[in-house]
Amino acid sequence: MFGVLFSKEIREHLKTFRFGAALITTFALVLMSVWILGDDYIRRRDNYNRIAERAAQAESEVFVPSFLFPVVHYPPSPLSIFAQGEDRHLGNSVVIDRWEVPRGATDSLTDNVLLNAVPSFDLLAIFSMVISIFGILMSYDSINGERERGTLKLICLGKTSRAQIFLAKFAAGVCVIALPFLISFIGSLLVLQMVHGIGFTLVQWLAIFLMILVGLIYGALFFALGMLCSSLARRSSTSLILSLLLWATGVLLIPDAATNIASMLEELPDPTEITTFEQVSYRETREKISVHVISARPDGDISIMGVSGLVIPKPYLFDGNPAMYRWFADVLKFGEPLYQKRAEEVWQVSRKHEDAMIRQAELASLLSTPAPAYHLRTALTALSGTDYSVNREFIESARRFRSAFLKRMWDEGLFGKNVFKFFSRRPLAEALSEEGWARRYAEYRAREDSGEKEDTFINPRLWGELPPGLVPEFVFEGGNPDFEAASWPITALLIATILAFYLGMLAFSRYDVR
Amino acid sequence: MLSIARKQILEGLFNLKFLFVAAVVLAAFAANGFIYAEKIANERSDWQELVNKNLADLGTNCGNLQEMSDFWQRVTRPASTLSFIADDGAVRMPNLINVNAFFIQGIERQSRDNEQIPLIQAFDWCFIVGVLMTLLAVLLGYDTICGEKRDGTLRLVLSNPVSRLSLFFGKYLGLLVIITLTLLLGGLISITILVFNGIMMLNEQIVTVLLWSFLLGVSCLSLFLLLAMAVSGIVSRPAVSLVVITTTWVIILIAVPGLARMVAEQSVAVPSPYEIEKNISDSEINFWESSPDGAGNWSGDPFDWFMPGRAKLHLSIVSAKQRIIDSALTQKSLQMKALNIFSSPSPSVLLSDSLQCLCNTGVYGFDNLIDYAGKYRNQLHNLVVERDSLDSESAHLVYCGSDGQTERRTFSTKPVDSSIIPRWHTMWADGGLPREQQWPVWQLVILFALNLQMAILAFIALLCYDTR
Repeated sequence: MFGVLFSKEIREHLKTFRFGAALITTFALVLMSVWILGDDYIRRRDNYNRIAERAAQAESEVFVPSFLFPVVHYPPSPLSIFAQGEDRHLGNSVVIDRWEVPRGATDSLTDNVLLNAVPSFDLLAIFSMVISIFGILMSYDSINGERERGTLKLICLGKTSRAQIFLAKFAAGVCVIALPFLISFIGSLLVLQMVHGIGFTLVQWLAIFLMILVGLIYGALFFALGMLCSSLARRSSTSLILSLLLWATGVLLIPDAATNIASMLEELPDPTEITTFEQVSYRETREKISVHVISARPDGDISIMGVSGLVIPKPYLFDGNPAMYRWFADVLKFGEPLYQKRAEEVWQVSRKHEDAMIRQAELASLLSTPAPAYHLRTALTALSGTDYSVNREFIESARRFRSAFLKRMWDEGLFGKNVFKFFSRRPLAEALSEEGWARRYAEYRAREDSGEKEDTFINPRLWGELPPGLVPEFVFEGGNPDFEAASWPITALLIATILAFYLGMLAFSRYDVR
Repeated sequence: MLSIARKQILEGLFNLKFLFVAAVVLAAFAANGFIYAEKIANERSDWQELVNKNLADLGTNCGNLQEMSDFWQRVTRPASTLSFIADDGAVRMPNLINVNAFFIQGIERQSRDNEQIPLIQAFDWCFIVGVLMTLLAVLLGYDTICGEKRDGTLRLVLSNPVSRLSLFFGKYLGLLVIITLTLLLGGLISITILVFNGIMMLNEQIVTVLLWSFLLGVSCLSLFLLLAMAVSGIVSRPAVSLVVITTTWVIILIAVPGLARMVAEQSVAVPSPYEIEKNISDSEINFWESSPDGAGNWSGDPFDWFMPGRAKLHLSIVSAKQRIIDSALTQKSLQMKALNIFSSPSPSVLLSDSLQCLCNTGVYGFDNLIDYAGKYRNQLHNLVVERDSLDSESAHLVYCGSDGQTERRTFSTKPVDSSIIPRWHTMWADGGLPREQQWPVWQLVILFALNLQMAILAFIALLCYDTR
């Protein structure tokens, strides 16, 4: 009997106008979204490749450690086509600076940040709005509609239990919702393969499969909610209004209001505090160094090359003047640790802000828990590796990278006994002797007279290489599908669906079929 | 006609579904008032702090003319008092830019936003009216015609000496009055909260903007109402009508802006960051190589930056660079505007676009920021040129120090009185509103045209409707 009911329901659904509307709308929307975001992904990937290329080139051109500012980066995830998440406005790279602890990524990969003001049009948006609304439109009259037509009595007269009837209706409905959804998803994957030529790895395929599953559970939840409303209300128009209100609350109102309420309840400290502290501490450090510079400089001239800001001059400028060479080494030994200490202090101040932000974000998630759309969002962004935690992990690895990098520099003695190596690759003895400099200068003149292009005198790259292994390897294990983070929202959606189904069945078992 | 309108109003007002949705809408308006009372107050104090900081920095860092011309000011757009009507949109719009006497560059976002929370949509009037209240309009209108047919009352009404025209307008007016009243009440709640919190003073400009917002809101809602009535006059069952309308509503809300984005990206090209960089470096190389008198010859004394030829070279490089940066910024906002134009078939987008225009937020606020920053740069530049021309020892070659390391001897280094430097914050009117208010006339015209078109469609549908 279950099978008969099930197939009857499916046949009936397939013939309805709303199914046709759902099929066409979903298909068109999904294809369009994938088309746009596929293009967008390719553009971002190209921009990213340029960043990576440029970083590698810049690093290969560096000849002294003082010029070394490694750039760490991670590629945009191809799954961001399905759920853009935070990927679209957060950057993917960080420049490692000895004087600054990384706090946020720079270089947003999108060409036009202004376009981000438009609500995103990814699969996530389509799922959360369209699938849910079709779930409701399919189910709002499943019980009371049959009562209005008078067929409910007839079905209940048979031997089938009410639970079976309810289950058959639910199962058929979910299968019918799955259809437009699967068709458009397969279509979109084809578009990505054929038009954009974007391929996925095995893990990403698994994530895509899970995304489809989450979408289906989400649709099933709204179908069950529609059935619940349908078994509670006598008239189908009442249940429609009721379920649409539930939809508007769970999809539009709660997620939006929660973020706003969270920002009212948990106040963030004033952001200008950080910038003020940054500027004041920079000025203080600079002043300390200036005093040292003035007292120590042999010729008393401090205007040259902004040394108090520790802008490293081209090494050859001091050649031939051992006193200047030593003096600059002394300034470095004095100043560099001060700037590095300041970086830590600034980081301590901004960490308070970051903690407050995390607290606020946690409060917002807590407040959004009743909204199914929130769980869908969390699950899909986690699966596509575009949620905020990816960015946070990236910044954290950048920080670890920076400390490892600085440690290597200290270990090499670049701010201590080997400070000459920090800004010059010349042999110390040669740099400090008048004769050595004179010899190099003579060589340089000879080369210039012979018309040789390569200027060995002012091209210190030719004097040697960086100490090997100075730049540690950057390790970042993120940006991949995060199945663990997705499991909780998936479970929540599943529990909600079961609960809605159970309540609906309960209401139906007491339903007056007349 | 009036009796039909009265009947419709009474029916609507004592309807449970209306009461329920209206309660949600009014609560949303109240929440909007409280949320923005706090947000605007915070933004205002941040703006004040920034103004004070800039003033202090001008005093300490602008000792002489060259320091002043090179000094980067980080300037923001003040928070719009009316951002509760239309905020910046879904994701943060840049509101900060760096200015000195030669350049504007580096757009950023500075605010108390928490980047760790995904901001889905701002909780402004655009959201409440464009999303929640359109849903209300749809729910009120979806069964106006076919519902009466189902109940059997349509034939009864039409058997009286009532023309279909007056039936149509009676129903339309009745429902429109209900919706307008809800909007008015909600708006008043939100405004009252803001006024009592001392956020807003009702002056002439603000009242005019509020009236415009009401007008735009009502015409957008009326459009959805007419759409619902048209569909309800085409199909025979209310359930089908609701399905059609909801589908249309979803398409209007997400598909049209999405499609518009695609068209906008195709039609207006924005250079990528690398193209901008490459253009700048290309033009720089070009200038260096083609400069007359060997001014671009590197192999001179590296400190000889003050040769007139070199200074002229720098002057042209600086202005070329600024032109490239400016045009990229213009392209960006042009692309955004194209997106708005292409999404204008969607009344919700049209509404938020026109409200942003009124409240000086969104892309309009961004444009205003860029515009004012450009003017401010010119003011600074003019001041530098003017002061420099008074100095008889100067070579009168005002250009930007490309590295900030060498002291340029091309223009005056005479000390400046910091009180004569123009101030950024004086460029803005109070409350972050533009000095010359733009009125979203064409958006209103489009809305009216769409309304008229939809009304004709709905009326024709009713004329042809089979009442049996």
